[in-house]
Amino acid sequence: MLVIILTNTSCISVHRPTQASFAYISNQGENSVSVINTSTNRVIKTIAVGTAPVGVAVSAALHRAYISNVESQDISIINTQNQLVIGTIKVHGSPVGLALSANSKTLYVADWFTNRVLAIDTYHSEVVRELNIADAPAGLVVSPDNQSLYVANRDSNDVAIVDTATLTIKQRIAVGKHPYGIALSTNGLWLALVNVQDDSVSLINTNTQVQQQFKVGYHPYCVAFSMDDKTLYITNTQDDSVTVIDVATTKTIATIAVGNTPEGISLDHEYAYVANWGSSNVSVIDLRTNKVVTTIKTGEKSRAFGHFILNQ
Amino acid sequence: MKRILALLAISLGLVSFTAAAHGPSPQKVEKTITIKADPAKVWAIVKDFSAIHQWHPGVASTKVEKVGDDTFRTLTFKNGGNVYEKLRSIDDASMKIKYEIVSGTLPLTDYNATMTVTPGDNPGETKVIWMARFYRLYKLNPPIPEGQDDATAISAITGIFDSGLANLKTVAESAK
Repeated sequence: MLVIILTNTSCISVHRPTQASFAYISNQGENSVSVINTSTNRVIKTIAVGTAPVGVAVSAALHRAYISNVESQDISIINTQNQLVIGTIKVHGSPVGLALSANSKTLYVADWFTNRVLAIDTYHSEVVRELNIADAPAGLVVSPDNQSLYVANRDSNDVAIVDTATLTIKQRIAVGKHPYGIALSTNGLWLALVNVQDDSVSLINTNTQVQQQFKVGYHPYCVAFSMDDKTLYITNTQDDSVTVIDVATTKTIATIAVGNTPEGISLDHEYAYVANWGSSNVSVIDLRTNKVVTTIKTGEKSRAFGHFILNQ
Repeated sequence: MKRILALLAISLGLVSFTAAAHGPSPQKVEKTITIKADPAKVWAIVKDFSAIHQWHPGVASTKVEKVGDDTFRTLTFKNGGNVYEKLRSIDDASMKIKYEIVSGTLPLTDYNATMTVTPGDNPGETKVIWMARFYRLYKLNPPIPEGQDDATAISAITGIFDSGLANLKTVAESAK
């Protein structure tokens, strides 16, 4: 009896909330994922995945990270508790963008070349449904109420709103030229996406569908909201910078120099993590000062397209 | 050099670089050379957008034109191919010149490049870093036609960068 009590006590102490958050950085040039512990800002593991990894989606509920490998046409599944690849989902196409449903039951995959969105059952790890969407679907995001999937279609210059229950298109909204990265505010009210060729961001009120467009840096790529939904952060691939935008006024608050050719961006509370494709590293920005506080070496050609930080 | 001329000679017609989709994975070529000359002297050569033919052995001529506030150049290669490029920026403070390809005969698309000049490891030395990001020519799924794949695009730019930097070194080190 005594032994059992001691064992339980020991278990409880191990599981006190000291769990770290992890950033999963896909490295296109060396077919790997760098796992960064965001409390120490160190790479704790480099995991071999498929060929030319790009998209990332993470789930605390499933203890999983999904990585899309566009050249090997598959998706790697990583167990986030031991950082091991536990499976691969074959996709006949070119998987780029990834997003999980709010309940983690469905993984949505944008298939860049065959213009489809695939819905994968995360329990069985197999494709269950698919939808012909538009030309070159890229960024994906699911609403917090799980009812809508938003898809940025790069070559159709629109965003499609998909009914997740029926996997049918409810509506299309025309945006700027070549929409790519996409993000939704935590309350689901604001949809933001970059228009790469217009050097702009579209900010759409999902209730009224009123759209504002404003200029950012040269060839923006990805976008993320602050935790309080008041601020937007945009990577500008050809300016080596991040633009900070006040959501209420759409005015630029700051422009922060980061590494070479920044692509993916995700936030962990007061810090933004930026994957730099050109310099093969990650810039960490303190959002209270809008300054880069550290740079972490990752793998060759870091991309990290999607929401890549797992808060456990 | 022969290899790059052969690649440049591939007749692909004029390729539009901006309108359509590209391959899924951007490609990179990054080359560095150390030159025994002062950074200021090397930067003066590198920053001249109108004079690449004076140091690049594969370029026969450079024709510059202004369209509004923008500056463009047409490079004619010695093998007869060509490329039409737009100047993005010249930054004297960081000794960095950025440009992109608008159209041309090279087997690639969505090409952006930067040449950066920095002090070398020893006094009187300079490092030049030439970096490009681009996509292969073929925009669809495999099978990829020969001459339109990642390897062809990378090989073409590698040849241009290697031969260009080698001769830039020769020119900069011999110039008074």
